[in-house]
Amino acid sequence: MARKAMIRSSREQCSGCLRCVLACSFFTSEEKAFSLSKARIQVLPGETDAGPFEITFSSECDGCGICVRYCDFGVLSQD
Amino acid sequence: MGMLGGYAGSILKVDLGTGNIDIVPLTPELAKQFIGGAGVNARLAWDYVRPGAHPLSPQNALILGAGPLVGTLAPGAGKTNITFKSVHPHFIGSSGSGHLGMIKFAGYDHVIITGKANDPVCLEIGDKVRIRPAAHLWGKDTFETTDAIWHELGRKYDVLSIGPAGERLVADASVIANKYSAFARTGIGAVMGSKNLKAVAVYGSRSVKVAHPRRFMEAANKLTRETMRLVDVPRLRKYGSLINLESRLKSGSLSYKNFRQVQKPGDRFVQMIGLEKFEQGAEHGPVSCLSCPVGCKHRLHWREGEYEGMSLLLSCAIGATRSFANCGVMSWPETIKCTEMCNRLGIDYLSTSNLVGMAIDLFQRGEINRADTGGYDLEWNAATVFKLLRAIAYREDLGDALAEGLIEGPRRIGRSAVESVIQYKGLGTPVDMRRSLFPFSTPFFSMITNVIGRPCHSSPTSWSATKEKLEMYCLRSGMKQEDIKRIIYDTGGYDGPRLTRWTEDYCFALECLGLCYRTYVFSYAIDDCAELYSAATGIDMSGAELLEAAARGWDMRKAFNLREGATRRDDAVPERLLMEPLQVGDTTCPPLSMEDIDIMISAYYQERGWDSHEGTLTPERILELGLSLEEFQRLPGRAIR
Repeated sequence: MARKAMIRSSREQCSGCLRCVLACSFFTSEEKAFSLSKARIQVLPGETDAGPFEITFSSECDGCGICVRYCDFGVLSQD
Repeated sequence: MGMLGGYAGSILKVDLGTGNIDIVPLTPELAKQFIGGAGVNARLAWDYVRPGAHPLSPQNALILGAGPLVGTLAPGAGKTNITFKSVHPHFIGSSGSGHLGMIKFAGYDHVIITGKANDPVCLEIGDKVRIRPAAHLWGKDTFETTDAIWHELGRKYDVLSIGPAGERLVADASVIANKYSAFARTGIGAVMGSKNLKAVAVYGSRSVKVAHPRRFMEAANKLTRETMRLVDVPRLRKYGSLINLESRLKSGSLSYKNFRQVQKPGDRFVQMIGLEKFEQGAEHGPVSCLSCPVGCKHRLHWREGEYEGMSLLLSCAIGATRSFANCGVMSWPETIKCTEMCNRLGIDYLSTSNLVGMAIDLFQRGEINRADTGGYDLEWNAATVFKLLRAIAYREDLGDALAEGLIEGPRRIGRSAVESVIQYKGLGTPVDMRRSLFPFSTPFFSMITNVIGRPCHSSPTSWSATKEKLEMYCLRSGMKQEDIKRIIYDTGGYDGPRLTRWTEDYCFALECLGLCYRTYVFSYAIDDCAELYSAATGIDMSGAELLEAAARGWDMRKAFNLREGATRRDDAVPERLLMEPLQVGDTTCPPLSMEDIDIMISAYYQERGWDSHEGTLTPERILELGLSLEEFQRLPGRAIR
C-alpha cells in the first residue's frame, strides 16, 4: 500500500486508451497475457457526458511503473 | 482453437427469438482463410443471414467481430466490426468502430445475434450471457440508455445502444458505443431495432494470450516507437481528423448546400470553421480507441457564446464539419450540437446530412413547401437542421419519408428529390467527385465500386502525395514492383481504379487484424503486420499471404452482394453529377462522363480479377472461397459467368 502513492495521475489528459491497463496485466502476470480485470490499474469512463476518465489503483499495485512507461499521454508519472 | 494465440477461439451465438445461447469454436481454417474481424464476419454473414432475407426481419443477423490483435498492446489494435445485411437490400452492411474490443475479454472473437425478441431487450455479454428485459430503456436516447445500463451493471461495461431512430427502424439509424463512438452506416441501428435489441453491454474478465509474448512485444513496441516518431502526434491530438482540412479544401472536396457549391481556401466557411476557431472555442483533450497511443478523437467543452458549457466526445471532427456544411451549418458550436443530436438520437450524420441538405435544397427551390414539412420553412441554417434531425429520428411529417433513407426516401417525395439526391448504394458522403476526378483519389473512386458504398480505406491519394511518397506507400502496403510500375505512372499520375484495389486490400488486412487504418495516423508496412500476426497467433504468415486473405474477405463480401441481387448497375454515380457542372470560383468543373466512369469501373473489376463487364466472381474464385458453384448457378440474373 505504501508504494501505491508512487504512481500519480493527472486524469484531464487521459484518452482512455487502456494501454496502461493492458501493460500492467501483461507484465505483472505470470501467464504474460492481456487482461482488463487482472490489472492493478483501472480506467473507467467519467460520470459526466464528456468528463475525463477515472483512474484508480488496486491495493496490489507495488508502484513498478510499467503503466507509466506505456502511457503516451503523460497522464501517469512516478516519483 | 487449441494452442493458437491472439484469437479467443470461440463464437457466441444468441437467438433472440428462442432465447437460445450457444458457444461454438472458431475453427483455425476459418481464421486462417479470412484473418478475423470484418473478414471472418463476411463469411459468417453468408452463413447466418438467410438468402434474400428482408433486412429488418428476424432472418437478418448482426455479427460482431474483433480480430486477433484486438485486446493486445499492438498500437491502434482497437478496430472492431459489425456485419449484417444492409437496409439497402442488395448489399452487405458493415460498420466499424474502436469500441467493441471488450468481446475478446469476454472470451469471444465473434458474436452472432439472430432472431427477434418479443419485447425490448438488452444483451449482456459478461462472464455470463443474459438476455435482460429492457422495456424501461425503450424510448430513451443513447446517452440516457448508456447511463441507465452503467447504473445497473457498472461503468466497466462497454455499452452499445440504439436511440429513438433505431427503435423506429430509420434507415440511417446508428449504434452508439459509450455515448460517443458510432457504429454507423448501412442501417445498423435499424437492424438492431428490428430485433427489439435496445443495447448490448459487454465486459470480460478473461485474458487475451499471445503465442510468443517476447517476440510479440518486440514487434508491438517497434511499431509504437515508429508511429510516435513518424506522425505529428501533438497536432493530431489537437486537431484529430481536422489536420486534413487544408488538403480537402485544396482538392475541392468540401461540399456545401447539397453539393451545389464547394468550399475553397479563403471562403467564409473556412474562417468560421477552420482550425483557429476550433482551438479558440473549445477546451479539448484527446480520446483514444482501445490501445491507440495517438488519440485523434476529442473530448470537447465549448466555452463561448450561446453554446457555452456544451460538452461532447467527438469521433471525427472533419466528418462532422463536412456533413453539416452540406446543410448550410457554418459554425463550430452548431456543428457540435448537430453531432450531439445525431449521437443521442442514434442516426448516422454522414448519410442523414445528405438527406437534410436535399430537403432544404428542395424547399429553397420550391419543389416542396410548408404543407410537406409540417408547417415550417426549411432554411440553410442550424435551426432547420435541428428540426429535421428530430423529425427523421421520430418519423414526424417530412421526416417520415426521409427516414426511409437516401434511396427510398427521395422516391417517396417525388422525382425532384430523386434528381437532386447524392448517394452511393444508399449512403451519403460529403464529397464531390466533379472537382476531384483527376487525379482521382482512391477513397473517392471506391464510393462507386465499393461493396458497401462508402470508402473503406484511406490512402495518400487523398492529399497531394509525390510520386516517391506514393511508391513508398505502395511498397509498404505490399504491392509487387511490377504492379507498382504498371499503376504509378512515370509522369507522376496513377491509375486510380486499379490502385483502389490494392489500397482496399491493404486497409482491409489491417481492419481484419483489428488495426486502425487511418493512413494519416498509422501506416504500417504489411510485413510488420504479418510479424504481429505471426507472433500473436503462432501461425506464420507473410505480408503477401495476409493481403491474399484480405482479398478473399473482400470477395466474400462481393459474393454476398451477388447473392442478394447486386449487379453492375449498382456501381453507379449519382445522376446529378453526370448532368450538372460545378462552379468553383472562376473555374467550371464539367459534369462527370459516364463513358469515362464505365472504363474506370471495368479497370477496377479487372484488377480485382472479377469479370470486367459484370463484376462477377469467377467459378475458380467461388470455389476458393469455399462456396458452392451450384448455389451461385441457382441465383437469378448473371451472378456467375
